[in-house]
Amino acid sequence: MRKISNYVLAFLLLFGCGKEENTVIVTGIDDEFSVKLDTVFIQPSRSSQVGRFEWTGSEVLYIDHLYGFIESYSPEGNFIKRELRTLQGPEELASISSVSAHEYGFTVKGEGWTFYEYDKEWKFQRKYTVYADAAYEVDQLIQNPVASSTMMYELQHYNDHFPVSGDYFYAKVDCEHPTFNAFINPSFYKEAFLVAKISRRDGKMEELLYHFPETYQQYRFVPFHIFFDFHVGSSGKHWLTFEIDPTIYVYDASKSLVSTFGVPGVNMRTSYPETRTLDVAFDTDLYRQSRFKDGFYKDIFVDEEANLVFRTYRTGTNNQTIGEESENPLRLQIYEAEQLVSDIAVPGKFRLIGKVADRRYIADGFYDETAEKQGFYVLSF
Amino acid sequence: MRKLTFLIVLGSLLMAFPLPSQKVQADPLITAGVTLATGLAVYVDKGCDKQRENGTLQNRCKNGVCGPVACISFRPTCSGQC
Repeated sequence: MRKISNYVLAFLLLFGCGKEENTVIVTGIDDEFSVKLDTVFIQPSRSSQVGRFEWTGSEVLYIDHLYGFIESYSPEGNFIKRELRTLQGPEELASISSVSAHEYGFTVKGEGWTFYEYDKEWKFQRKYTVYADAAYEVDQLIQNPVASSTMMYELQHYNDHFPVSGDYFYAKVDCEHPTFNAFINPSFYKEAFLVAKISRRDGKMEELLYHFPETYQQYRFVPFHIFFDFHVGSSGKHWLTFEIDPTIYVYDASKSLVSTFGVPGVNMRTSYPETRTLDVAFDTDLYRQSRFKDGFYKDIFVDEEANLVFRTYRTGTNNQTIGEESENPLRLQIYEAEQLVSDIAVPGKFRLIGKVADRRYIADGFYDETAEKQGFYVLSF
Repeated sequence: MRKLTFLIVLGSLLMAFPLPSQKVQADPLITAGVTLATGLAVYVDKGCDKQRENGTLQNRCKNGVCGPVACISFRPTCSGQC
């Protein structure tokens, strides 16, 4: 009996019971209601604290990038099981950088541009590498860039995610052609596409969508603030937010712009340094500084059913001791029926990933490498 | 006066419609990009996408990260570190 209870205790210690800690009541500026933010810690069998959380619709997935595994947890933080890990061999998953859960199962991004498809029981279906149709000779394209050619584009790695819709997933893309790029060419900000629709059958870039808003025309140029985020709703609508623009753009299922709304964040440093040479592209310091010095709009998450839009933004800081983006203060705007109802401070790596229940949401990500702790947030109001 | 008017009109026409022999000043930034493009042509290969699928495509250094980019990218090559 003692042996059994020891095993039970060991099991509990090893796989952890989630527990809620650090409940915070947050009231923003001119708020009519207050927001509660709980941190739920999880205790994976091992963890590098370098990873991310995702939501399946009923479970929280913890993806550890360095140890290469995916584990599932309840919204209360209780361990369920290990779903996947990286394995050896040419057809096995070599690394895990992100996961998209959807009605057909899971789409896992491995190394580079390779994706793996699994069914709802995590049974491997197929893998593919994203590619562009070779419609042009590469030499031709160097001399004469074609903005509408998928050959010009690459997956954008900054803040990436890959929402799935039917037989496709959507991915942020970037174009760094020698003469058609964000550093030297004003046409880039009018003609470059931003999102690729990619086949989940074979990885082919099927379609390119969306351009930068006109706001970018007032700068010459802001290549370190071309990043954006988008949310794909179950209705087929897309919501887009851009780093230097307070406006949120809403497109319908036929990709026509149907609505715009959004107000500026508070106390944002929006004096963006403008650059006009290609040399700055190779200055990594300039890119890093743009992440922690400047204010910019970051992530967007939409609860279509409740007509709620959540958009985060960083305020920027002149604190010279800061060097990491996560230390650039982050705030969350909540819009109801496209009207701002709340604007509150949130933790530095906060990123909404799913809806648990009415007015209750899950967010990535608490990571403390020193204390060896990790967890997710539960936002409710 | 008539001669002066004629010269002003002629000058305006020349400004609006440059003769073929007049070289248009290229945007120096675009010119720099073309020069860079020529220099980087060695990185681009017709079989670029095939190499990506086989995992042999060379990586490029972008924003401090060494990773795969479009075949057409101006980024320099890297292996591991940036």
